[in-house]
Amino acid sequence: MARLRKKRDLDVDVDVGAFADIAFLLIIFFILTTSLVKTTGQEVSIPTAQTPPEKTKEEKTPTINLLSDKILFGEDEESMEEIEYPKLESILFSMDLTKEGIEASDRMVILEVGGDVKYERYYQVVTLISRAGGIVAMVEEAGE
Amino acid sequence: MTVRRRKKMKVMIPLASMGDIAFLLIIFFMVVSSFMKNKQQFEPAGSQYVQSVEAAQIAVTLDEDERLWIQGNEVTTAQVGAVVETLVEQHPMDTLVHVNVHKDHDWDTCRPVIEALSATGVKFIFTGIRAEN
Repeated sequence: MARLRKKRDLDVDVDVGAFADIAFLLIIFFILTTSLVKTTGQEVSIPTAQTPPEKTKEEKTPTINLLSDKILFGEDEESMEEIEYPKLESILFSMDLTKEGIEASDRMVILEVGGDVKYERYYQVVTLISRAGGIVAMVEEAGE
Repeated sequence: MTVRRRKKMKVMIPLASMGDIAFLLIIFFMVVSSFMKNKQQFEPAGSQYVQSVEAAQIAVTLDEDERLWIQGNEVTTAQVGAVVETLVEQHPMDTLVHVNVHKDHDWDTCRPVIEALSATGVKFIFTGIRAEN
Protein backbone atom coordinates (compact mmCIF):
# COMPACT_ATOMS: atom_id res chain seq x y z
CA MET A 1 0.00 0.00 0.00
CA ALA A 2 1.33 3.37 -0.95
CA ARG A 3 2.15 5.65 1.90
CA LEU A 4 -0.03 8.74 2.12
CA ARG A 5 2.07 11.78 2.52
CA LYS A 6 0.70 14.90 4.03
CA LYS A 7 0.82 17.76 1.58
CA ARG A 8 3.33 20.32 2.72
CA ASP A 9 1.83 23.75 3.36
CA LEU A 10 3.17 26.60 1.34
CA ASP A 11 5.04 29.12 3.36
CA VAL A 12 3.14 32.33 2.50
CA ASP A 13 4.38 35.31 4.41
CA VAL A 14 2.35 38.50 4.29
CA ASP A 15 4.34 41.42 5.54
CA VAL A 16 1.95 43.58 7.52
CA GLY A 17 4.51 45.63 9.38
CA ALA A 18 3.81 48.72 7.30
CA PHE A 19 0.13 48.71 8.28
CA ALA A 20 0.89 49.93 11.76
CA ASP A 21 2.96 52.85 10.45
CA ILE A 22 0.21 53.89 8.08
CA ALA A 23 -2.46 53.56 10.73
CA PHE A 24 -0.51 55.85 13.06
CA LEU A 25 -0.04 58.37 10.27
CA LEU A 26 -3.81 58.31 9.70
CA ILE A 27 -4.49 58.86 13.38
CA ILE A 28 -2.14 61.87 13.43
CA PHE A 29 -3.80 63.18 10.27
CA PHE A 30 -7.28 62.96 11.80
CA ILE A 31 -6.21 64.55 15.08
CA LEU A 32 -4.76 67.53 13.24
CA THR A 33 -7.58 68.04 10.77
CA THR A 34 -10.35 67.65 13.34
CA SER A 35 -9.12 70.61 15.34
CA LEU A 36 -8.61 72.67 12.20
CA VAL A 37 -12.13 72.34 10.81
CA LYS A 38 -13.98 72.98 14.06
CA THR A 39 -16.87 75.26 13.22
CA THR A 40 -17.93 78.10 15.46
CA GLY A 41 -21.12 80.07 15.34
CA GLN A 42 -24.30 80.94 17.17
CA GLU A 43 -27.68 79.32 16.86
CA VAL A 44 -30.22 81.99 16.08
CA SER A 45 -33.92 81.71 16.79
CA ILE A 46 -35.92 83.42 14.12
CA PRO A 47 -39.69 82.90 14.11
CA THR A 48 -41.04 81.33 10.96
CA ALA A 49 -44.39 83.10 11.09
CA GLN A 50 -44.73 86.66 9.92
CA THR A 51 -45.57 88.90 12.88
CA PRO A 52 -47.45 92.08 12.03
CA PRO A 53 -45.26 94.96 13.29
CA GLU A 54 -48.28 96.97 14.49
CA LYS A 55 -49.31 94.22 16.88
CA THR A 56 -45.86 93.73 18.38
CA LYS A 57 -45.33 97.46 18.80
CA GLU A 58 -48.55 97.72 20.82
CA GLU A 59 -47.14 95.07 23.14
CA LYS A 60 -44.01 97.14 23.84
CA THR A 61 -41.56 94.71 22.33
CA PRO A 62 -37.90 95.71 22.62
CA THR A 63 -36.88 97.07 19.25
CA ILE A 64 -33.40 97.55 17.88
CA ASN A 65 -32.93 99.75 14.85
CA LEU A 66 -29.55 98.85 13.41
CA LEU A 67 -28.09 101.41 11.04
CA SER A 68 -24.66 101.56 9.45
CA ASP A 69 -23.41 104.29 11.84
CA LYS A 70 -25.59 103.95 14.95
CA ILE A 71 -27.87 101.75 16.99
CA LEU A 72 -31.29 102.90 18.19
CA PHE A 73 -33.08 101.05 20.96
CA GLY A 74 -36.49 101.44 22.56
CA GLU A 75 -39.81 99.78 23.29
CA ASP A 76 -41.78 101.78 20.74
CA GLU A 77 -41.12 104.39 18.05
CA GLU A 78 -41.39 107.34 20.47
CA SER A 79 -38.90 105.97 22.98
CA MET A 80 -36.18 105.07 20.48
CA GLU A 81 -32.85 106.51 21.48
CA GLU A 82 -29.31 106.11 20.28
CA ILE A 83 -27.13 103.81 22.33
CA GLU A 84 -23.67 102.30 22.07
CA TYR A 85 -23.08 98.59 21.58
CA PRO A 86 -21.87 97.93 25.19
CA LYS A 87 -25.01 99.62 26.54
CA LEU A 88 -27.21 97.46 24.28
CA GLU A 89 -25.31 94.45 25.54
CA SER A 90 -25.99 95.28 29.19
CA ILE A 91 -29.68 96.08 28.52
CA LEU A 92 -30.30 92.78 26.74
CA PHE A 93 -28.58 90.70 29.40
CA SER A 94 -30.39 92.59 32.20
CA MET A 95 -33.72 91.60 30.60
CA ASP A 96 -33.03 88.04 31.78
CA LEU A 97 -34.62 86.40 28.75
CA THR A 98 -33.16 83.00 29.57
CA LYS A 99 -35.00 82.54 32.84
CA GLU A 100 -37.30 79.53 33.15
CA GLY A 101 -40.98 79.81 32.35
CA ILE A 102 -40.68 82.88 30.14
CA GLU A 103 -42.92 82.68 27.09
CA ALA A 104 -41.55 82.84 23.56
CA SER A 105 -43.56 85.99 22.82
CA ASP A 106 -41.85 87.73 25.75
CA ARG A 107 -38.44 86.79 24.42
CA MET A 108 -39.09 88.51 21.10
CA VAL A 109 -36.71 91.29 20.10
CA ILE A 110 -37.56 93.19 16.94
CA LEU A 111 -34.55 93.88 14.76
CA GLU A 112 -34.84 96.47 12.02
CA VAL A 113 -31.78 96.58 9.80
CA GLY A 114 -30.80 99.26 7.31
CA GLY A 115 -30.09 97.99 3.80
CA ASP A 116 -26.53 99.30 3.78
CA VAL A 117 -25.55 97.66 7.07
CA LYS A 118 -22.68 95.22 6.66
CA TYR A 119 -23.37 91.59 7.49
CA GLU A 120 -20.63 91.58 10.14
CA ARG A 121 -22.44 94.36 12.07
CA TYR A 122 -25.73 92.51 11.77
CA TYR A 123 -23.98 89.33 12.88
CA GLN A 124 -22.63 90.93 16.05
CA VAL A 125 -26.07 92.16 17.07
CA VAL A 126 -27.96 89.00 16.14
CA THR A 127 -25.52 86.78 18.03
CA LEU A 128 -25.78 89.10 21.03
CA ILE A 129 -29.59 88.85 21.01
CA SER A 130 -29.43 85.09 20.72
CA ARG A 131 -26.88 84.72 23.51
CA ALA A 132 -29.04 86.93 25.73
CA GLY A 133 -31.90 84.49 25.11
CA GLY A 134 -33.90 86.60 22.68
CA ILE A 135 -35.79 85.53 19.61
CA VAL A 136 -34.95 87.70 16.65
CA ALA A 137 -38.03 89.04 14.89
CA MET A 138 -37.11 90.41 11.51
CA VAL A 139 -39.05 93.25 9.96
CA GLU A 140 -38.69 95.17 6.76
CA GLU A 141 -35.58 97.28 6.48
CA ALA A 142 -35.52 100.61 8.33
CA GLY A 143 -36.97 103.50 6.39
CA GLU A 144 -39.58 101.50 4.50
CA MET B 1 10.90 2.54 -9.73
CA THR B 2 10.90 5.48 -7.41
CA VAL B 3 8.59 8.31 -8.43
CA ARG B 4 9.75 11.62 -7.17
CA ARG B 5 7.30 14.38 -6.58
CA ARG B 6 8.14 17.54 -8.34
CA LYS B 7 9.29 20.12 -5.87
CA LYS B 8 6.79 23.02 -5.71
CA MET B 9 8.02 26.56 -6.14
CA LYS B 10 7.68 28.89 -3.20
CA VAL B 11 5.28 31.63 -4.34
CA MET B 12 5.06 34.91 -2.44
CA ILE B 13 2.66 37.63 -3.44
CA PRO B 14 3.64 41.00 -1.95
CA LEU B 15 0.33 42.09 -0.45
CA ALA B 16 1.67 44.73 1.89
CA SER B 17 1.72 47.40 -0.82
CA MET B 18 -1.98 46.77 -1.50
CA GLY B 19 -2.77 48.02 1.98
CA ASP B 20 -0.62 51.10 1.43
CA ILE B 21 -2.42 51.92 -1.78
CA ALA B 22 -5.81 51.42 -0.14
CA PHE B 23 -4.93 53.77 2.71
CA LEU B 24 -3.56 56.35 0.29
CA LEU B 25 -6.81 56.17 -1.66
CA ILE B 26 -8.82 56.70 1.54
CA ILE B 27 -6.75 59.78 2.38
CA PHE B 28 -7.12 61.08 -1.16
CA PHE B 29 -10.91 60.83 -1.11
CA MET B 30 -11.23 62.32 2.34
CA VAL B 31 -9.07 65.30 1.44
CA VAL B 32 -10.88 65.87 -1.84
CA SER B 33 -14.35 65.72 -0.27
CA SER B 34 -13.26 68.15 2.43
CA PHE B 35 -12.09 70.61 -0.24
CA MET B 36 -15.37 70.24 -2.10
CA LYS B 37 -17.33 71.24 0.98
CA ASN B 38 -15.29 74.40 1.51
CA LYS B 39 -14.59 75.43 -2.04
CA GLN B 40 -16.68 78.56 -1.73
CA GLN B 41 -14.62 81.57 -0.75
CA PHE B 42 -16.00 83.68 2.04
CA GLU B 43 -14.62 85.49 5.02
CA PRO B 44 -16.69 84.77 8.13
CA ALA B 45 -18.02 87.53 10.33
CA GLY B 46 -16.62 87.88 13.84
CA SER B 47 -18.42 88.10 17.16
CA GLN B 48 -17.53 87.51 20.78
CA TYR B 49 -20.67 85.40 21.16
CA VAL B 50 -19.66 82.42 19.06
CA GLN B 51 -19.07 78.95 20.39
CA SER B 52 -18.21 75.55 18.99
CA VAL B 53 -21.18 74.14 17.13
CA GLU B 54 -22.19 70.75 15.89
CA ALA B 55 -21.53 69.76 12.30
CA ALA B 56 -24.01 70.90 9.70
CA GLN B 57 -26.32 68.61 7.84
CA ILE B 58 -26.95 71.35 5.30
CA ALA B 59 -24.60 74.24 4.51
CA VAL B 60 -25.80 77.42 2.82
CA THR B 61 -23.04 79.75 1.69
CA LEU B 62 -23.19 83.25 0.26
CA ASP B 63 -19.65 83.72 -1.01
CA GLU B 64 -17.66 86.90 -1.57
CA ASP B 65 -18.84 87.08 -5.19
CA GLU B 66 -22.46 87.05 -3.98
CA ARG B 67 -22.95 83.56 -5.37
CA LEU B 68 -25.18 81.30 -3.34
CA TRP B 69 -24.31 77.66 -2.70
CA ILE B 70 -26.23 74.88 -0.99
CA GLN B 71 -24.27 71.68 -0.34
CA GLY B 72 -21.74 72.71 -2.97
CA ASN B 73 -24.32 73.37 -5.68
CA GLU B 74 -24.96 76.89 -6.92
CA VAL B 75 -28.56 78.06 -6.59
CA THR B 76 -30.46 81.29 -6.98
CA THR B 77 -32.03 83.16 -4.06
CA ALA B 78 -35.48 82.20 -5.31
CA GLN B 79 -34.54 78.51 -5.13
CA VAL B 80 -33.21 78.52 -1.54
CA GLY B 81 -36.48 77.66 0.19
CA ALA B 82 -37.39 74.84 -2.17
CA VAL B 83 -33.90 73.32 -2.16
CA VAL B 84 -33.61 73.45 1.63
CA GLU B 85 -37.06 71.90 2.04
CA THR B 86 -36.08 69.06 -0.31
CA LEU B 87 -32.89 68.46 1.66
CA VAL B 88 -34.75 68.59 4.97
CA GLU B 89 -36.98 65.75 3.77
CA GLN B 90 -33.83 63.67 3.26
CA HIS B 91 -32.71 64.35 6.85
CA PRO B 92 -35.49 63.10 9.11
CA MET B 93 -33.65 64.16 12.26
CA ASP B 94 -33.80 67.71 13.55
CA THR B 95 -32.07 69.31 10.60
CA LEU B 96 -29.36 71.82 11.28
CA VAL B 97 -28.40 74.38 8.65
CA HIS B 98 -25.13 76.29 8.75
CA VAL B 99 -25.41 79.76 7.22
CA ASN B 100 -22.08 81.06 5.92
CA VAL B 101 -22.16 84.63 4.71
CA HIS B 102 -19.22 86.76 3.60
CA LYS B 103 -18.78 89.48 6.22
CA ASP B 104 -18.68 92.48 3.86
CA HIS B 105 -22.04 91.96 2.19
CA ASP B 106 -24.76 94.52 2.74
CA TRP B 107 -27.90 93.48 4.59
CA ASP B 108 -29.85 93.95 1.35
CA THR B 109 -27.80 91.11 -0.17
CA CYS B 110 -28.20 88.73 2.78
CA ARG B 111 -31.80 89.44 3.73
CA PRO B 112 -33.54 87.42 0.97
CA VAL B 113 -31.45 84.35 1.85
CA ILE B 114 -32.09 84.60 5.58
CA GLU B 115 -35.80 85.26 5.05
CA ALA B 116 -36.09 82.28 2.72
CA LEU B 117 -34.35 80.05 5.28
CA SER B 118 -36.51 81.41 8.07
CA ALA B 119 -39.65 80.55 6.11
CA THR B 120 -38.61 76.88 5.91
CA GLY B 121 -38.69 76.57 9.71
CA VAL B 122 -35.33 74.81 10.01
CA LYS B 123 -32.96 75.34 12.91
CA PHE B 124 -29.99 77.33 11.70
CA ILE B 125 -26.64 78.50 12.93
CA PHE B 126 -24.89 81.62 11.70
CA THR B 127 -21.27 80.56 11.49
CA GLY B 128 -18.54 83.02 12.35
CA ILE B 129 -15.26 83.41 14.14
CA ARG B 130 -14.52 84.56 17.65
CA ALA B 131 -13.60 88.21 17.79
CA GLU B 132 -13.61 90.98 20.36
CA ASN B 133 -16.19 93.64 19.58
